[in-house]
Amino acid sequence: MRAQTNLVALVLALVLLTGATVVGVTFADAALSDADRDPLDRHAATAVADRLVAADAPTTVRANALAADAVGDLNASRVETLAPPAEGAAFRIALDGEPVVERGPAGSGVTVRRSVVVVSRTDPIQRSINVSRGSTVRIPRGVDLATVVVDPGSNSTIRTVRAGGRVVLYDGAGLDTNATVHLSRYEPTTVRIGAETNATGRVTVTYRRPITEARTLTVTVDA
Amino acid sequence: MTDRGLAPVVGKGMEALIVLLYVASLVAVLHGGVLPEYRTAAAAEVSERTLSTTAERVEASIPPRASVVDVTRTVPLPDTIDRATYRIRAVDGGLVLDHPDPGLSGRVPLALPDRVVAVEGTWESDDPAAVRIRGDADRVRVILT
Amino acid sequence: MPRGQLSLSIIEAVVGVVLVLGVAAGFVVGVSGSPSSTPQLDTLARDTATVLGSEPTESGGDSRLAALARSDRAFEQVRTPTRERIERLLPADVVFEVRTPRGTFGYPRSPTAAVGSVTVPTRYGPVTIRVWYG
Repeated sequence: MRAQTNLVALVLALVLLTGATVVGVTFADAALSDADRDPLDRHAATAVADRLVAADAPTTVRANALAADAVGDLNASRVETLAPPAEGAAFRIALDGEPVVERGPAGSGVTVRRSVVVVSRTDPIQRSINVSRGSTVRIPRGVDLATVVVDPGSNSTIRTVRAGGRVVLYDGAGLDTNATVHLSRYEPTTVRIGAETNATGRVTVTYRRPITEARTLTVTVDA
Repeated sequence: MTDRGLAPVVGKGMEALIVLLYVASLVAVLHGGVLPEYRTAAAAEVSERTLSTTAERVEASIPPRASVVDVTRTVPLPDTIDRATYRIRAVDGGLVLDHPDPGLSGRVPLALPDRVVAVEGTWESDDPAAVRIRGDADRVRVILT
Repeated sequence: MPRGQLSLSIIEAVVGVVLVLGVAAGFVVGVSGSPSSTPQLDTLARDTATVLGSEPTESGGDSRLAALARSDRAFEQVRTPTRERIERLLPADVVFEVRTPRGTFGYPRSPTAAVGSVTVPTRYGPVTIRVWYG
């Protein structure tokens, strides 16, 4: 009788131990599958984000500044060309939650977030300098590019165009040209003409003011 | 009387035998079925992680556009994966991990700016690994040494 | 006597179960203590610094980042618009602190949170941006 009671207790004990081992193996399994959310997905998401916001990317005007029209033109195959790790993967690219490019269910992939600005430009603003009056044009902050068209009057020579004190166009024989000049984005620029007295003609300065909107770029990739 | 004296000894002996059998069969089951699976699963994780970390390292080593580029960065690699040495080669714009066990080999494409014209070279897992980036403003080459 | 031998087996079983579950608990604790992704925070801090360093202020001739370090007066002028700008740039669940030689602004630091940061050496001194989840 005693031996049988012992045996029952022993069998019970072994069953408990087996149960505990099964639980342990289940935990180990869960731990392994939990260990890292697919490092290749993480690499693809980081790569796509880096290539989209890089200074030399076709989608940006400078580092972390996306061009609004380039963003509008983005599609899945352009993203694949920019970032080969996204080939054949499902991904979702969004700006402040609004989807920009989506392909397939990317829900269980890795998400990477970047801070960017989206730059769009106003319609061209045209200002004229009447050379005989010696007027100037003041271009506001934020503009880094302007087109200058020099149209001298008859018997007039316009030699110099200055922007913010710096000479940007010069021709000793007289300017008669259509050129693009670079300006400093951080301060307003005054465009002045250097011409002989009694010169006539018109210098037209055309620029577009950029509008920058801060946004969060979200890239999710599930390869 | 003698029966009563013998019963505890036989009982304890049988208990010991049962426990021994149980432990032996448990160890056999774990080693035969569960352990090898976990070993390869963990090794596959290491293999994927090595590929993606080295790819990120190479991509992050490309300096911004400059007229002269000559940068060397060391790349830490695990000496072995699943107790075997392996090799990482640059193939066709990506990194390929060559491992004796085909299940642990893999490929990851690299995301590089357009001015990178070539990626070449090989890393042996037990040799010190470095990535060398040379070029100018328009053409940059990445060499695994 | 039978009761004594019964409880001994049970004790042995309980000890064995506790041992196995202890090892199993090691799996659970060891893995769920995964690190908060600081590389992501570092990248967000760097992005913020890049954007602030390439944007003009409402007046003056420096970028926002440089203006924060230029002078006490410039700091007071750009501090609020810059704060609003950073709020727009960073995701909703990320908060920040900006430290310059002229002053500090942002959210109160959390002693336990993982922090990503970047320090930019401007013409007038270093500016540090720290971000964390909060």
